[in-house]
Amino acid sequence: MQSALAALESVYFTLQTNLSMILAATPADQRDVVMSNYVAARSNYWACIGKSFHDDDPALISLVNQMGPVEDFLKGANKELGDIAKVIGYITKAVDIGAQIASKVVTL
Amino acid sequence: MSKRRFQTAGDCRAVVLALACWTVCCLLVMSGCKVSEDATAASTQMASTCKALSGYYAALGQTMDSTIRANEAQYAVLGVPFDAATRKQMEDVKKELEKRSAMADELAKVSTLFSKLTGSSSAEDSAAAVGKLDDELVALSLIAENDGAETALKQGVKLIVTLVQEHKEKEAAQKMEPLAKDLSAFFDSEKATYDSIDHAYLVLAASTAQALLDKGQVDEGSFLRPVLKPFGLTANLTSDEVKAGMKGYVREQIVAKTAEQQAIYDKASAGMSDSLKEMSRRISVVVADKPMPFRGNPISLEDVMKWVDEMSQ
Repeated sequence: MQSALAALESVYFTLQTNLSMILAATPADQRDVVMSNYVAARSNYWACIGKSFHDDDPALISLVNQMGPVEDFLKGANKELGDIAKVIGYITKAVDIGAQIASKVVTL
Repeated sequence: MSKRRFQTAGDCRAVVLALACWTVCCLLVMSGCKVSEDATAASTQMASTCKALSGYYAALGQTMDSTIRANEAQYAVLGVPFDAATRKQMEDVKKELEKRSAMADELAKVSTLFSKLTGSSSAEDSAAAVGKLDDELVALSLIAENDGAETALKQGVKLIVTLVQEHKEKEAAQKMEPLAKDLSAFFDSEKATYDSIDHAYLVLAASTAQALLDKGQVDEGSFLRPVLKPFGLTANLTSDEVKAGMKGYVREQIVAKTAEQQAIYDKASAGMSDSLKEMSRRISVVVADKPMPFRGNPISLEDVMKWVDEMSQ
Protein backbone atom coordinates (compact mmCIF):
# COMPACT_ATOMS: atom_id res chain seq x y z
CA MET A 1 0.00 0.00 0.00
CA GLN A 2 2.78 2.40 0.88
CA SER A 3 4.40 1.94 -2.54
CA ALA A 4 1.04 2.61 -4.20
CA LEU A 5 0.64 5.72 -2.07
CA ALA A 6 4.16 6.84 -2.95
CA ALA A 7 3.44 6.47 -6.68
CA LEU A 8 0.17 8.41 -6.55
CA GLU A 9 1.69 10.98 -4.21
CA SER A 10 4.56 11.61 -6.62
CA VAL A 11 2.24 12.27 -9.57
CA TYR A 12 -0.15 14.45 -7.56
CA PHE A 13 2.55 16.48 -5.80
CA THR A 14 4.48 17.01 -9.05
CA LEU A 15 1.34 18.22 -10.83
CA GLN A 16 0.36 20.37 -7.84
CA THR A 17 3.78 22.01 -7.64
CA ASN A 18 3.86 22.80 -11.38
CA LEU A 19 0.13 23.32 -12.03
CA SER A 20 0.22 27.08 -12.35
CA MET A 21 3.23 26.94 -14.69
CA ILE A 22 1.75 24.15 -16.84
CA LEU A 23 -1.58 25.98 -17.12
CA ALA A 24 0.23 29.15 -18.16
CA ALA A 25 2.00 27.23 -20.94
CA THR A 26 -1.11 25.38 -22.12
CA PRO A 27 -3.23 26.70 -25.02
CA ALA A 28 -6.76 27.65 -24.00
CA ASP A 29 -8.30 24.73 -25.93
CA GLN A 30 -6.26 22.22 -23.93
CA ARG A 31 -6.64 23.69 -20.44
CA ASP A 32 -9.59 21.41 -19.69
CA VAL A 33 -7.40 18.36 -20.37
CA VAL A 34 -4.82 19.57 -17.84
CA MET A 35 -7.52 20.49 -15.32
CA SER A 36 -9.33 17.15 -15.57
CA ASN A 37 -6.05 15.23 -15.30
CA TYR A 38 -5.08 17.22 -12.21
CA VAL A 39 -8.49 16.63 -10.60
CA ALA A 40 -8.20 12.89 -11.33
CA ALA A 41 -4.66 12.74 -9.89
CA ARG A 42 -5.85 14.51 -6.72
CA SER A 43 -8.85 12.20 -6.39
CA ASN A 44 -6.68 9.09 -6.90
CA TYR A 45 -4.29 10.32 -4.24
CA TRP A 46 -7.01 10.98 -1.65
CA ALA A 47 -8.70 7.68 -2.41
CA CYS A 48 -5.41 5.97 -1.64
CA ILE A 49 -4.93 7.99 1.56
CA GLY A 50 -8.43 7.00 2.67
CA LYS A 51 -7.71 3.35 2.05
CA SER A 52 -4.15 3.29 3.27
CA PHE A 53 -5.25 1.82 6.58
CA HIS A 54 -5.44 -1.50 4.74
CA ASP A 55 -2.89 -4.07 3.75
CA ASP A 56 -0.28 -4.23 1.06
CA ASP A 57 -1.28 -6.09 -2.07
CA PRO A 58 1.46 -7.65 -4.21
CA ALA A 59 -0.74 -7.24 -7.31
CA LEU A 60 -0.21 -3.50 -7.09
CA ILE A 61 3.50 -3.85 -7.67
CA SER A 62 3.37 -4.16 -11.46
CA LEU A 63 1.14 -1.08 -11.74
CA VAL A 64 3.44 0.84 -9.44
CA ASN A 65 6.44 -0.22 -11.53
CA GLN A 66 4.75 1.04 -14.69
CA MET A 67 4.45 4.42 -13.06
CA GLY A 68 8.22 4.81 -12.52
CA PRO A 69 9.36 6.09 -15.96
CA VAL A 70 6.31 8.34 -16.25
CA GLU A 71 7.04 9.87 -12.86
CA ASP A 72 10.63 10.51 -13.91
CA PHE A 73 9.50 12.41 -16.98
CA LEU A 74 6.98 14.50 -15.04
CA LYS A 75 9.56 15.53 -12.46
CA GLY A 76 11.55 17.17 -15.27
CA ALA A 77 8.48 18.41 -17.13
CA ASN A 78 9.25 22.08 -16.47
CA LYS A 79 12.15 21.71 -18.95
CA GLU A 80 9.83 20.28 -21.61
CA LEU A 81 7.17 22.98 -21.61
CA GLY A 82 8.14 23.88 -25.21
CA ASP A 83 6.50 20.61 -26.22
CA ILE A 84 3.35 20.97 -24.16
CA ALA A 85 1.55 18.22 -26.11
CA LYS A 86 4.19 15.74 -24.97
CA VAL A 87 3.86 16.94 -21.36
CA ILE A 88 0.07 16.61 -21.48
CA GLY A 89 0.47 13.14 -22.99
CA TYR A 90 2.65 12.02 -20.09
CA ILE A 91 0.31 13.61 -17.56
CA THR A 92 -2.59 11.70 -19.10
CA LYS A 93 -0.60 8.45 -19.01
CA ALA A 94 0.37 9.00 -15.36
CA VAL A 95 -3.22 9.73 -14.38
CA ASP A 96 -4.48 6.62 -16.25
CA ILE A 97 -2.04 4.37 -14.40
CA GLY A 98 -2.87 6.22 -11.17
CA ALA A 99 -6.57 5.54 -11.71
CA GLN A 100 -5.81 1.83 -12.12
CA ILE A 101 -3.77 1.87 -8.90
CA ALA A 102 -6.48 3.77 -7.01
CA SER A 103 -9.12 1.39 -8.33
CA LYS A 104 -7.07 -1.59 -7.19
CA VAL A 105 -6.51 0.00 -3.79
CA VAL A 106 -10.20 0.73 -3.27
CA THR A 107 -11.18 -2.89 -3.94
CA LEU A 108 -8.74 -4.27 -1.32
CA MET B 1 2.05 -6.55 13.58
CA SER B 2 0.08 -6.15 13.48
CA LYS B 3 -1.00 -3.89 10.84
CA ARG B 4 -2.57 -7.01 9.40
CA ARG B 5 -4.08 -8.10 12.70
CA PHE B 6 -5.59 -4.69 13.31
CA GLN B 7 -6.92 -4.45 9.79
CA THR B 8 -8.83 -7.67 9.87
CA ALA B 9 -10.91 -6.23 12.70
CA GLY B 10 -11.76 -3.23 10.52
CA ASP B 11 -11.20 0.52 10.77
CA CYS B 12 -9.54 1.51 14.01
CA ARG B 13 -11.85 -0.55 16.21
CA ALA B 14 -9.25 -3.19 16.79
CA VAL B 15 -6.71 -0.49 17.45
CA VAL B 16 -8.97 0.95 20.11
CA LEU B 17 -9.33 -2.45 21.72
CA ALA B 18 -5.63 -3.23 21.51
CA LEU B 19 -4.67 0.17 22.86
CA ALA B 20 -7.13 -0.14 25.72
CA CYS B 21 -5.87 -3.59 26.66
CA TRP B 22 -2.32 -2.40 26.28
CA THR B 23 -2.83 0.62 28.52
CA VAL B 24 -4.79 -1.33 31.06
CA CYS B 25 -2.24 -4.11 31.32
CA CYS B 26 0.78 -1.84 31.27
CA LEU B 27 -0.67 0.15 34.10
CA LEU B 28 -1.44 -3.03 35.93
CA VAL B 29 2.20 -3.85 35.71
CA MET B 30 3.07 -0.44 37.02
CA SER B 31 0.59 -0.75 39.87
CA GLY B 32 2.26 -3.95 41.00
CA CYS B 33 5.90 -2.97 40.64
CA LYS B 34 8.12 -2.89 43.64
CA VAL B 35 8.95 0.79 43.50
CA SER B 36 5.79 2.84 43.86
CA GLU B 37 7.46 5.93 42.36
CA ASP B 38 8.08 3.93 39.18
CA ALA B 39 4.41 2.98 39.05
CA THR B 40 3.17 6.54 39.42
CA ALA B 41 5.80 7.93 37.06
CA ALA B 42 5.01 5.32 34.42
CA SER B 43 1.28 5.99 34.67
CA THR B 44 1.83 9.74 34.41
CA GLN B 45 4.17 9.30 31.47
CA MET B 46 1.66 7.04 29.74
CA ALA B 47 -1.02 9.70 30.19
CA SER B 48 1.32 12.32 28.67
CA THR B 49 2.13 10.12 25.70
CA CYS B 50 -1.52 9.32 25.03
CA LYS B 51 -2.42 13.01 25.36
CA ALA B 52 0.32 13.92 22.88
CA LEU B 53 -0.93 11.19 20.55
CA SER B 54 -4.44 12.60 20.77
CA GLY B 55 -3.10 16.09 20.06
CA TYR B 56 -1.09 14.79 17.12
CA TYR B 57 -4.17 13.23 15.51
CA ALA B 58 -6.30 16.32 16.26
CA ALA B 59 -3.68 18.57 14.64
CA LEU B 60 -3.67 16.34 11.57
CA GLY B 61 -7.46 16.72 11.53
CA GLN B 62 -6.96 20.49 11.53
CA THR B 63 -4.54 20.03 8.63
CA MET B 64 -7.37 18.34 6.71
CA ASP B 65 -9.60 21.37 7.39
CA SER B 66 -6.85 23.61 6.06
CA THR B 67 -6.44 21.35 3.02
CA ILE B 68 -10.14 21.67 2.20
CA ARG B 69 -9.97 25.46 2.55
CA ALA B 70 -6.78 25.59 0.45
CA ASN B 71 -8.53 23.66 -2.33
CA GLU B 72 -11.34 26.22 -2.21
CA ALA B 73 -8.74 28.98 -2.46
CA GLN B 74 -7.10 27.23 -5.40
CA TYR B 75 -10.47 27.07 -7.13
CA ALA B 76 -10.85 30.82 -6.64
CA VAL B 77 -7.33 31.59 -7.89
CA LEU B 78 -6.84 29.10 -10.74
CA GLY B 79 -10.37 27.87 -11.42
CA VAL B 80 -9.44 24.26 -10.59
CA PRO B 81 -12.69 22.37 -9.87
CA PHE B 82 -13.16 21.15 -6.32
CA ASP B 83 -16.04 18.71 -6.57
CA ALA B 84 -18.19 17.30 -3.77
CA ALA B 85 -16.75 13.79 -4.17
CA THR B 86 -13.17 14.96 -3.57
CA ARG B 87 -14.31 17.06 -0.64
CA LYS B 88 -15.98 13.98 0.86
CA GLN B 89 -12.77 11.96 0.43
CA MET B 90 -10.98 14.58 2.51
CA GLU B 91 -13.75 14.78 5.11
CA ASP B 92 -13.65 10.98 5.47
CA VAL B 93 -9.91 11.10 6.10
CA LYS B 94 -10.52 13.75 8.74
CA LYS B 95 -13.10 11.50 10.43
CA GLU B 96 -10.57 8.67 10.60
CA LEU B 97 -8.10 11.00 12.28
CA GLU B 98 -10.76 12.23 14.72
CA LYS B 99 -11.54 8.64 15.71
CA ARG B 100 -7.90 8.06 16.53
CA SER B 101 -7.70 11.33 18.45
CA ALA B 102 -10.76 10.46 20.54
CA MET B 103 -9.37 7.01 21.22
CA ALA B 104 -6.02 8.40 22.39
CA ASP B 105 -7.78 11.03 24.51
CA GLU B 106 -9.80 8.38 26.32
CA LEU B 107 -6.65 6.36 26.89
CA ALA B 108 -5.01 9.44 28.40
CA LYS B 109 -7.93 9.71 30.83
CA VAL B 110 -7.67 6.03 31.68
CA SER B 111 -3.94 6.45 32.27
CA THR B 112 -4.55 9.44 34.55
CA LEU B 113 -7.04 7.47 36.61
CA PHE B 114 -4.58 4.62 36.91
CA SER B 115 -2.02 7.09 38.07
CA LYS B 116 -4.40 8.12 40.87
CA LEU B 117 -5.07 4.47 41.64
CA THR B 118 -1.41 3.54 41.89
CA GLY B 119 -0.65 6.63 43.94
CA SER B 120 -3.43 6.06 46.45
CA SER B 121 -3.16 4.01 49.62
CA SER B 122 -6.75 4.72 50.61
CA ALA B 123 -9.25 1.96 49.86
CA GLU B 124 -12.00 4.56 49.34
CA ASP B 125 -9.91 6.55 46.87
CA SER B 126 -9.01 3.36 45.05
CA ALA B 127 -12.65 2.34 44.82
CA ALA B 128 -13.55 5.78 43.45
CA ALA B 129 -10.74 5.61 40.89
CA VAL B 130 -11.85 2.14 39.78
CA GLY B 131 -15.41 3.47 39.41
CA LYS B 132 -14.25 6.34 37.19
CA LEU B 133 -12.02 3.97 35.28
CA ASP B 134 -15.06 1.82 34.55
CA ASP B 135 -16.84 4.91 33.19
CA GLU B 136 -13.91 5.81 30.95
CA LEU B 137 -13.71 2.31 29.56
CA VAL B 138 -17.41 2.51 28.75
CA ALA B 139 -16.61 5.70 26.81
CA LEU B 140 -13.85 3.83 25.01
CA SER B 141 -16.23 1.07 24.06
CA LEU B 142 -18.62 3.65 22.59
CA ILE B 143 -15.82 4.83 20.34
CA ALA B 144 -15.23 1.22 19.37
CA GLU B 145 -18.80 0.97 18.01
CA ASN B 146 -18.45 -2.77 17.87
CA ASP B 147 -20.14 -5.38 20.04
CA GLY B 148 -17.12 -7.66 20.01
CA ALA B 149 -14.79 -4.85 21.01
CA GLU B 150 -17.18 -3.65 23.71
CA THR B 151 -17.47 -7.12 25.21
CA ALA B 152 -13.71 -7.49 25.15
CA LEU B 153 -13.30 -4.13 26.85
CA LYS B 154 -15.74 -5.05 29.59
CA GLN B 155 -13.84 -8.28 30.07
CA GLY B 156 -10.72 -6.13 30.22
CA VAL B 157 -12.23 -4.15 33.09
CA LYS B 158 -12.98 -7.39 34.96
CA LEU B 159 -9.44 -8.53 34.27
CA ILE B 160 -8.06 -5.34 35.78
CA VAL B 161 -10.01 -5.72 38.98
CA THR B 162 -9.15 -9.42 39.29
CA LEU B 163 -5.46 -8.96 38.60
CA VAL B 164 -5.17 -5.98 40.92
CA GLN B 165 -6.83 -8.01 43.65
CA GLU B 166 -4.69 -11.09 43.02
CA HIS B 167 -1.46 -9.16 42.31
CA LYS B 168 -0.73 -11.16 39.15
CA GLU B 169 0.52 -8.08 37.35
CA LYS B 170 3.70 -9.57 36.02
CA GLU B 171 1.99 -12.54 34.36
CA ALA B 172 -0.41 -10.19 32.61
CA ALA B 173 2.42 -7.89 31.61
CA GLN B 174 4.42 -10.69 30.06
CA LYS B 175 1.45 -11.59 27.90
CA MET B 176 0.84 -7.98 26.94
CA GLU B 177 4.41 -6.98 26.25
CA PRO B 178 4.28 -8.01 22.56
CA LEU B 179 1.11 -6.00 22.12
CA ALA B 180 2.87 -2.89 23.38
CA LYS B 181 5.46 -3.40 20.66
CA ASP B 182 2.64 -3.90 18.17
CA LEU B 183 1.14 -0.54 19.10
CA SER B 184 4.34 1.22 18.20
CA ALA B 185 4.51 -0.82 14.99
CA PHE B 186 0.92 0.14 14.22
CA PHE B 187 1.70 3.84 14.43
CA ASP B 188 4.75 3.33 12.24
CA SER B 189 2.71 1.34 9.71
CA GLU B 190 0.43 4.37 9.20
CA LYS B 191 3.13 7.00 9.65
CA ALA B 192 3.79 7.37 5.91
CA THR B 193 0.11 8.22 5.45
CA TYR B 194 0.16 10.82 8.23
CA ASP B 195 3.33 12.34 6.78
CA SER B 196 1.82 12.45 3.31
CA ILE B 197 -1.30 14.25 4.58
CA ASP B 198 0.82 17.02 6.08
CA HIS B 199 3.05 17.22 3.00
CA ALA B 200 0.00 17.41 0.69
CA TYR B 201 -1.27 20.46 2.54
CA LEU B 202 2.07 22.26 2.42
CA VAL B 203 2.55 21.55 -1.32
CA LEU B 204 -0.97 22.82 -2.09
CA ALA B 205 -0.64 25.92 0.09
CA ALA B 206 2.78 26.81 -1.34
CA SER B 207 1.75 26.37 -4.97
CA THR B 208 -1.45 28.39 -4.46
CA ALA B 209 0.51 31.16 -2.73
CA GLN B 210 2.98 31.17 -5.64
CA ALA B 211 0.09 31.40 -8.12
CA LEU B 212 -1.34 34.37 -6.22
CA LEU B 213 2.09 36.01 -6.24
CA ASP B 214 2.49 35.44 -9.99
CA LYS B 215 -0.88 37.11 -10.57
CA GLY B 216 0.24 40.11 -8.52
CA GLN B 217 -2.35 39.47 -5.82
CA VAL B 218 0.03 39.39 -2.85
CA ASP B 219 0.95 42.49 -0.89
CA GLU B 220 4.73 42.17 -0.95
CA GLY B 221 4.92 45.27 1.21
CA SER B 222 3.88 43.20 4.23
CA PHE B 223 7.45 41.89 4.31
CA LEU B 224 8.65 45.45 4.96
CA ARG B 225 6.67 45.72 8.21
CA PRO B 226 9.65 44.89 10.46
CA VAL B 227 11.47 47.90 8.97
CA LEU B 228 8.54 50.35 8.99
CA LYS B 229 6.57 49.31 12.08
CA PRO B 230 8.79 51.13 14.64
CA PHE B 231 7.97 54.40 12.88
CA GLY B 232 4.27 53.76 12.43
CA LEU B 233 4.69 53.65 8.65
CA THR B 234 3.23 51.32 6.02
CA ALA B 235 4.69 50.38 2.66
CA ASN B 236 3.43 51.98 -0.53
CA LEU B 237 5.30 50.18 -3.30
CA THR B 238 4.97 51.95 -6.64
CA SER B 239 8.33 51.22 -8.24
CA ASP B 240 8.21 48.24 -10.63
CA GLU B 241 11.89 47.60 -9.94
CA VAL B 242 11.34 47.39 -6.16
CA LYS B 243 8.19 45.31 -6.66
CA ALA B 244 10.08 42.86 -8.87
CA GLY B 245 12.83 42.60 -6.27
CA MET B 246 10.29 42.03 -3.51
CA LYS B 247 8.51 39.36 -5.57
CA GLY B 248 11.72 37.34 -5.77
CA TYR B 249 12.20 37.73 -2.05
CA VAL B 250 8.62 36.69 -1.29
CA ARG B 251 9.01 33.66 -3.57
CA GLU B 252 12.09 32.59 -1.62
CA GLN B 253 10.23 33.14 1.64
CA ILE B 254 7.42 30.83 0.54
CA VAL B 255 9.96 28.11 -0.28
CA ALA B 256 11.88 28.66 2.96
CA LYS B 257 8.77 28.73 5.17
CA THR B 258 7.45 25.57 3.50
CA ALA B 259 10.71 23.78 4.26
CA GLU B 260 10.65 25.11 7.83
CA GLN B 261 7.08 23.90 8.43
CA GLN B 262 7.91 20.54 6.89
CA ALA B 263 10.92 20.16 9.19
CA ILE B 264 8.83 20.97 12.30
CA TYR B 265 6.24 18.38 11.29
CA ASP B 266 8.86 15.75 10.44
CA LYS B 267 10.38 16.13 13.91
CA ALA B 268 6.92 15.82 15.50
CA SER B 269 6.06 12.70 13.55
CA ALA B 270 9.41 11.07 14.29
CA GLY B 271 9.05 12.19 17.92
CA MET B 272 5.66 10.51 18.27
CA SER B 273 7.06 7.31 16.86
CA ASP B 274 10.07 7.47 19.19
CA SER B 275 7.87 8.18 22.23
CA LEU B 276 5.73 5.12 21.56
CA LYS B 277 8.84 3.00 21.14
CA GLU B 278 10.19 4.38 24.41
CA MET B 279 6.94 3.41 26.14
CA SER B 280 7.30 -0.10 24.84
CA ARG B 281 10.91 -0.27 26.03
CA ARG B 282 9.94 0.90 29.52
CA ILE B 283 7.27 -1.76 29.77
CA SER B 284 9.89 -4.33 28.87
CA VAL B 285 12.12 -2.93 31.60
CA VAL B 286 9.36 -3.26 34.20
CA VAL B 287 8.48 -6.78 33.04
CA ALA B 288 12.14 -7.74 33.35
CA ASP B 289 12.15 -6.38 36.93
CA LYS B 290 14.92 -3.96 36.08
CA PRO B 291 15.13 -0.46 37.50
CA MET B 292 13.66 2.30 35.34
CA PRO B 293 16.65 4.51 34.49
CA PHE B 294 14.59 7.55 33.45
CA ARG B 295 11.12 8.37 34.76
CA GLY B 296 10.32 11.60 32.97
CA ASN B 297 8.52 12.05 29.67
CA PRO B 298 10.53 11.16 26.57
CA ILE B 299 12.23 14.28 25.19
CA SER B 300 10.77 13.46 21.77
CA LEU B 301 7.30 14.38 23.12
CA GLU B 302 8.40 18.04 23.17
CA ASP B 303 8.77 17.98 19.38
CA VAL B 304 5.22 16.62 19.09
CA MET B 305 3.77 19.29 21.37
CA LYS B 306 5.65 22.06 19.58
CA TRP B 307 3.98 21.16 16.30
CA VAL B 308 0.58 20.62 17.96
CA ASP B 309 0.80 24.04 19.63
CA GLU B 310 1.79 25.65 16.34
CA MET B 311 -1.15 24.07 14.55
CA SER B 312 -3.60 25.25 17.20
CA GLN B 313 -2.53 28.90 16.83
